[in-house]
Amino acid sequence: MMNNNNHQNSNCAFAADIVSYIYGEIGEKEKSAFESHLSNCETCPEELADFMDIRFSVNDWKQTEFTPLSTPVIEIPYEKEQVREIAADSGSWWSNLRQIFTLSPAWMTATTAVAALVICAGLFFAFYKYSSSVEVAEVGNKPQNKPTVSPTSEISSSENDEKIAVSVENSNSSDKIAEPPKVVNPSPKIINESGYEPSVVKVAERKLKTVTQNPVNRTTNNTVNNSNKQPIRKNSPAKNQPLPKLNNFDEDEDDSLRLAELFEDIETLE
Amino acid sequence: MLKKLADEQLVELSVSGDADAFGEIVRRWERKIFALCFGMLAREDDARDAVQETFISAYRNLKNFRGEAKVSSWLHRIAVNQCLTIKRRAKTRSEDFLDEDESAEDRTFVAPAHLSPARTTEQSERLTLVRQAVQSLPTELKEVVVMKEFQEMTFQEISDTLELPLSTVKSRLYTALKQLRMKLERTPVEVL
Repeated sequence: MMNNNNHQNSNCAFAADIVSYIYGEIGEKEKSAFESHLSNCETCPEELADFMDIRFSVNDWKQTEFTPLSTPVIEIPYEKEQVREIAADSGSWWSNLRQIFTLSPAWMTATTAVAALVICAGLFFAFYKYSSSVEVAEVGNKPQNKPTVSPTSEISSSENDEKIAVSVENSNSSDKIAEPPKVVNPSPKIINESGYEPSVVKVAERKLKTVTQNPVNRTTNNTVNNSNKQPIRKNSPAKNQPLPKLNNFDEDEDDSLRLAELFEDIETLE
Repeated sequence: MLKKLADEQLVELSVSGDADAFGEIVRRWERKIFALCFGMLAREDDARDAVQETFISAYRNLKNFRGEAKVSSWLHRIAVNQCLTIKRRAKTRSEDFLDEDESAEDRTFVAPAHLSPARTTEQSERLTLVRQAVQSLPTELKEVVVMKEFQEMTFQEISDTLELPLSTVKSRLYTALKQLRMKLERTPVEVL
């Protein structure tokens, strides 16, 4: 085996030729020069012997453990790579989506379809509820062209005549002008026919009652009960025309029936 | 037909979708890459995994191959990187290849029939020591030793593959042999 002498041979000018000599990759001229050096150098022969021994050992390791091994069978996933490249090249969201569904198992596809159906049903239900609530609010503000008989018997016939007259005037001017009498005298029948909640009808009746009890002092009523705002006035185009009996009406006051207040009333009644 | 083509031409055909061309590249280099991986990792299973991953990685990166480097250099770099990755993974699993007891238990050594039991024991121990010593070398020295001994490449071929000067290759091999000499001196095997 190797000796334990000092192996520092870096100072030798022929040190670089040792590996070339060991592996037989040295020119004829360099080879003869190196061989003649070996007989005169003290360290190079020892180093050469040790290196040859190491080379033999490494080669022995290779011959013993590596050479008997068979070369591994290399499996390149050509098809998968091609599919991946096609997906990358196509790039469109629809093709990518189709790719996902093509490659995913059947149960995942079925689950996704069921989830999509549930989401669609939920959205439809939410939209239906929302549209219903909007219609209820519209019914509350809906103009009614029938200046029919007042539900209360407290209104005198002369007052009724005045209101009807106003409504006729307004209906002649434009479509929107027909609002004041309608709101003043909303028909409970129409509200009931619409099939919406009775609470809405009650709110409308309550407001109607407030108006009809004191038709002349409406401004006073509105001033006192600000919470009891009248929806008729704001939306009425008749505000441009001076009403004979409502000359004390404050044009700037917002006494319209607000949707939020309507909901509050509904909640209170419920 | 494909056997007559140069590596670079095979790569071009592979990029255009010719699977047979890449198969020819694999056939040309699989044994040498396997030898490199075995020398770098000293474990058959790991070496097989590294070879597989090397060619899969090469196939996936065919489009990134530039003709500036040789195919052999390109494959060599991929293989060495795969070996380093596998070694890092092994370290995270707390598997130390230099653990003598584990190495002795894991590795089976089939003794040649013509050797006596004493000679067999000596040779087995010697192989274990050499394997450990080579594995403990720095990567840049170890790959030169492996390329020279396992891949049987010339200095010029190593120089071309590593894109290093010929003198640097010889210097690295000389340094590697010196370090191996020192490592093997510390744990001498007694001759029975």
